Amino acid sequence: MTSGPATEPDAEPTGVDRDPDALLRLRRNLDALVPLSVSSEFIRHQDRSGRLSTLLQLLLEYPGPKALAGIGDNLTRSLGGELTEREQQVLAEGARALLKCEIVLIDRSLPLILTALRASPVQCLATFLLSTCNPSSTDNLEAIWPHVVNEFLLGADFDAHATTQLLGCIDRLRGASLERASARLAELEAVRTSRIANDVFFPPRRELYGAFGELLKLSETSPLGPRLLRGFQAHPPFWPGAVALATFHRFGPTSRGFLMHMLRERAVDKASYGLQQLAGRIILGTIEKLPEGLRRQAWVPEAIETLGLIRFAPALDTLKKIAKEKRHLVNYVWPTNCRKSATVALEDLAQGPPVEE
Amino acid sequence: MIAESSSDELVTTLANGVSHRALYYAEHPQVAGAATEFCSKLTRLLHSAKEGSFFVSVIDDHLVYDHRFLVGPTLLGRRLLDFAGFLCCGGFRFDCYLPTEQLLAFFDLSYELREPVRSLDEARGLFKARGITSIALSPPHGHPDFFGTHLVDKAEVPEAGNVPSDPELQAVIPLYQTLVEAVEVAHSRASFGHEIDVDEARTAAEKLLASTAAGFQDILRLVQYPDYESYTTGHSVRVGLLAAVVGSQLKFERDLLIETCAAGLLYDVGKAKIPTPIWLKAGALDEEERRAVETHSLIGAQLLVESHSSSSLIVDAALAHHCRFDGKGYPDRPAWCTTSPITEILSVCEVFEALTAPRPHKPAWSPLKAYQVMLSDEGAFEPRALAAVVRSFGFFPPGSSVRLSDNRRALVLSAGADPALPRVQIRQTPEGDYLPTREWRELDIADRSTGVYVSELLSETVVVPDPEPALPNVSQVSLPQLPGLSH
Repeated sequence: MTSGPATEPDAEPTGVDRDPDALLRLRRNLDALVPLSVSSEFIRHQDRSGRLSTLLQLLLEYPGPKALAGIGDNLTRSLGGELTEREQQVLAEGARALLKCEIVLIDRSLPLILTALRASPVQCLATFLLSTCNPSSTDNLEAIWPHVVNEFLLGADFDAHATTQLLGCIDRLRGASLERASARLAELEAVRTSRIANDVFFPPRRELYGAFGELLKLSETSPLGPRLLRGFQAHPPFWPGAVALATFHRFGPTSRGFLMHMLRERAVDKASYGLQQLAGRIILGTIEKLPEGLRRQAWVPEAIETLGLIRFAPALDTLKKIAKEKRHLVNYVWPTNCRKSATVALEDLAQGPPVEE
Repeated sequence: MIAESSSDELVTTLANGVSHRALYYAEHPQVAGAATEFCSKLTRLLHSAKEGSFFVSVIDDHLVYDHRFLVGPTLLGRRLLDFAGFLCCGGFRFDCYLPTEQLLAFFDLSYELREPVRSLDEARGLFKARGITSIALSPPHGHPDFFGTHLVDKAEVPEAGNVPSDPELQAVIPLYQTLVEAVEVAHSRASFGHEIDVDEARTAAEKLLASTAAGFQDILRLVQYPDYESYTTGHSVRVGLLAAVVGSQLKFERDLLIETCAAGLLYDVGKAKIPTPIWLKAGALDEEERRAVETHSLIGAQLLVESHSSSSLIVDAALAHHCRFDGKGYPDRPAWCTTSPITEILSVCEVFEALTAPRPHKPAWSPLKAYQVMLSDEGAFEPRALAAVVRSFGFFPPGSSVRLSDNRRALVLSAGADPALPRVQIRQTPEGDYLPTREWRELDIADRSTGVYVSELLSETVVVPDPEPALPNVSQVSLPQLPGLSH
């Protein structure tokens, strides 16, 4: 009997009820066996790895839509709570096997596992992704990349170690692989439903900028654009010209172009000369056209000061006007804080042009 | 008269034909196969017995032949019994040369008749209108024109040793039929590509557990009756039952117990998608057919996972019940896969059932023989699961009849910590006299102060007493006294 537990044996065993020695041996074997079942410990202490194994194996069989939905439901019902080491191992191994399959299967199946895992402590999700992600394999990286990014976009609150590791993986993908993976990312939950968590924008994560840039490239009309703009306006990156983000009232070609430039450069702490100049032009254009009633907005003094910080020479005349212009020779046209910012900016400008990096 | 096992087999085929017709379409191979099989067997058996017709009667909602309650066919024959009830008849008499078309018309009518007729004459008119001339309807038992021999007043029937007069067993027959129904419906839905309602199996499992709070011994008395269709319904019902017993012994919580039993009822549902000719094939399967059969695990799991009411436990049981503990078996599983303990238990139950149940081609084996086979198949089973099964059924499974060393006969209530020392209920005196219910006494064989041990495992044969009752035939699978078993 080698092809499965016996169900229909061919021949009746002989001797067991006639041969005392055979009986004795059998009795000893059974006596040794029975204590194993003293309690149901082996039921209670065993984890869900068996059931998870089956669900994952079924995923590898290219299930149809109905089976896929059933697997997803069962995964969701099976997971939740802490996972044992064995369960984590089965999940990771199953996912690694899945990642060797066709992309279409991966993108249909992996979200089922990840969705189910979200019901468990976030550390389980992190462990799963870390054990599934293999940064040294481009194929593996490209296969899993959209799903890791998707988790970040949905706001997974990984610990520092997991965040660093996973962002490191995300950042490794470039070029055509990044383009392909981003196109798949666009079909996953976060982007498809524009459910992007605010946490994604602060602290700024340059590793995600590449993904954002690619996503913006994919569509001019996607709701993702306005969402990204709102996010970056609330939590701008740290380089001085980033304040230009605040000047946009709506998402349009200018803001899209600026965002794409910023994201392509992964500009978090510093930006290129070109990007700084672009920010300067945007700020200056906005300031010059800013109706008087809007000059008391919080971002305005900072934006004015930024023109000096980035040494944006074309702003010289405008800054002078802001600092000095009076109405009827008595009242200043610009609010005090704007004038102070303009004065500081003029001092900065006086120090000469910036050094290009 | 037709021999006991042959008549059981014949009536089972009839009951299956009626059930299949209710679940499948008229031309389905299962229906046609049952009709062909019944007619050819009927002719052959009646020829051998030198008789011109075969009369199976319906008495007290049981199928009866030659004064003998046909427990196995009754368990599977709920629809046949209902059909007889609708026809106001007390049984069916089949002519030796029954044309298959007439039996198919009989099956059709059993499906199409949705309410009782007003009289036996009306029923006979229906038969005539459909050209069924070789099957005669008998008036009910008790009517002067009843085709068969009248039985004695039930009150005169001894309480013990006779299944239908045994109230505990009477109570569990409908329960068993419910389990059968759950399995049949699931297989039928699977074969038609409809979603399997796992909750139906759970409901059947719940009923089982609600009715067996005092133990499984009564319903387990029914598992020994052959149904001659080992690959589907009866097998799954028995595996579900055995799994429930093991789960109960392991003190599973109620929900897990229900799930375990439901998994046992449904784990083989993938077989419904395997072409019927393969199942009906006489003789060994060729390589291609064997491979087709082996797909049933994966197919079953896929069918079950599509059900909105499935659970991962039930899906796992369907997929992995032929996977061996040593990693062999089928379907192939990746090295990282593990199997759930419930499936491990079901795998053991499945084999234990196959070995200990009678089949057309083999008699029932004793549990001891079954354990020997299972233990000798190294690597087949998870040892703890195997241990749990041995612990649950022992050498004398609950529900079986045993002879004690003092010659009294008893019903096993439960296995003991030592597999040779069950807890029993004394039902007969050393002289073979049946004890009235009030005198049934429980005895724990493990209690050495009794000085009694089990000397023999008996199998129960059910006989409807003649006006001059005969004692039950106790053909047996005998066990010698085991070393270490006696006190």
